[in-house]
Amino acid sequence: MAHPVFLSVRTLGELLRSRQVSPVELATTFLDRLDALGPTYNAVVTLTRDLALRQARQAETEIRAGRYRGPLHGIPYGAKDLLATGGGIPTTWGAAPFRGRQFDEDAAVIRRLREAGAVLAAKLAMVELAGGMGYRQPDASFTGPGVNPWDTTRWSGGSSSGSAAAVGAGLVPFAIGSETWGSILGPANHCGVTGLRPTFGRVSRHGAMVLSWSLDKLGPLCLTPDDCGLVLEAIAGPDAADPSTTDQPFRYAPGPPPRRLRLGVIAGVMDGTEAATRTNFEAALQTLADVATIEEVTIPALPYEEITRTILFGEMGSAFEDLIETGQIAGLTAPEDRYTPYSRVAVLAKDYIRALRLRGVIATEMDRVMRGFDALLGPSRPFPSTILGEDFPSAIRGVGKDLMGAIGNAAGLPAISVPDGFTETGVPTGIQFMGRPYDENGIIAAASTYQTLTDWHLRHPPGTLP
Amino acid sequence: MSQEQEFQLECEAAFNLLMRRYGDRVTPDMVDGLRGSVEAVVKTVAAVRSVTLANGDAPLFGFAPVRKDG
Repeated sequence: MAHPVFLSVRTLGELLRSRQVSPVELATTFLDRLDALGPTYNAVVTLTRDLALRQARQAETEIRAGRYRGPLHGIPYGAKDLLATGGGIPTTWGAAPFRGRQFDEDAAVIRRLREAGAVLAAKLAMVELAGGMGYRQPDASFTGPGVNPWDTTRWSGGSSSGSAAAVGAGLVPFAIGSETWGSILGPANHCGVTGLRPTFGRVSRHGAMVLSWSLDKLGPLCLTPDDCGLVLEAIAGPDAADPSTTDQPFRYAPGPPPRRLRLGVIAGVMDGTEAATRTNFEAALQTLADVATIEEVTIPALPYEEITRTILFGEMGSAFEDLIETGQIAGLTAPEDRYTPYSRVAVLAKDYIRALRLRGVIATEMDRVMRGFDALLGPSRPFPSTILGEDFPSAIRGVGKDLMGAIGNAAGLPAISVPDGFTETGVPTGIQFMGRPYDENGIIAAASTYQTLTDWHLRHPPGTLP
Repeated sequence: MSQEQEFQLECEAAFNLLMRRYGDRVTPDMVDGLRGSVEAVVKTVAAVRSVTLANGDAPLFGFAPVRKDG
């Protein structure tokens, strides 16, 4: 058998199902990689070796007995450390004041993955409090800045730093991350992996840290869109414990698009985009033109970034009110995180409500614009991975543009990022396919089609191949 | 009063409010960054306030994505 590192979840699942590889061997392989290489990327908060081996042995017993749970049975994974885990495994939210803190119960996603037979190998590093405190440079976690497997002088992206780096470096076959605004697509872009931000309400957030109730989504980071579909099916579904979850079921339907793709590009989406990102995106459009009709679309002129930012600031101020009012933010790692939250007093209630009204306008207009399109395309981030120690552009801070991020997160739209090339310095860039609500199957099919025409996703960071 | 003057007044009011509430935790090295953050927030809400809305434009309180099949 080929070495399991950098094999897809689907392939590994088949090897496990057919008993060509043992879950215990697989878990041990990835646990050892997490242990040996995780520190290089500051990717791991807690290695859950004992739990993983217990779960792997259970998977082995069940598979041998013919009790196969599905494609994730026996697959090791990592969970962003904002997902609660019981059993004495800490959940730190990336924040020094919560180092060592434990919860009694598992988050819904952790429970669902356990029920699917997946093996929790590690809690993965993240930007403190999912980046909501206003960080401007990568050293914003008590575990250290997320390091990019492609270039260890550069940032892995955030806030799902460890999730992206671990998948990109072959330390786990898949990971769970979260996105409020940019935190799945951004690190997926920087680390050259596939990241799926599901429709708002697809996945229960019960047991996950809240940054913004109406913006937070949990989603998978994997090596392929197909793997993201497999993982999403396992974690999606209604949950009475999270009233935001939708009753609409998600059944992953792999396969090519039923007809020629119709894709759109928002006019102005490239404004403020870095040169290599722009070049690679334009090349991706050329590639897709063989299999898709691509049109420019016009959207109403609205202050999209400001609207989403106002919602975020209003909600995070409440979500972390205790931390802010008690002054505990003084214990955070990034200096700017220790004071920036105080500035959000400038958001009045009527500003927040106005932003929610404008959210309704965005959601309605984008549904109208996107009718008849399989996806809208854009760069996954306006810039590639930045140098550690340097400030990065951020639409959340008002420094830099992120039109699709603002629109997609305000309107709760799904999006998937896949690699679309490299910069001259050898770090990846990505293209995102953003779909209408509940159309994860459509964007997965579109992104998969792109990957049949390219091989960016088959390349791996130097020094990570076993 | 010019827009710029109104903007500066709002920034000052917000900064004074936060200093009243949190001033005991704000060290001198934070002040410039905090003023910058306040300005960024005031610019943000100014942009949101600048859009004309109709009385019937309701907030998406019980937020769910919109999809009208077609």
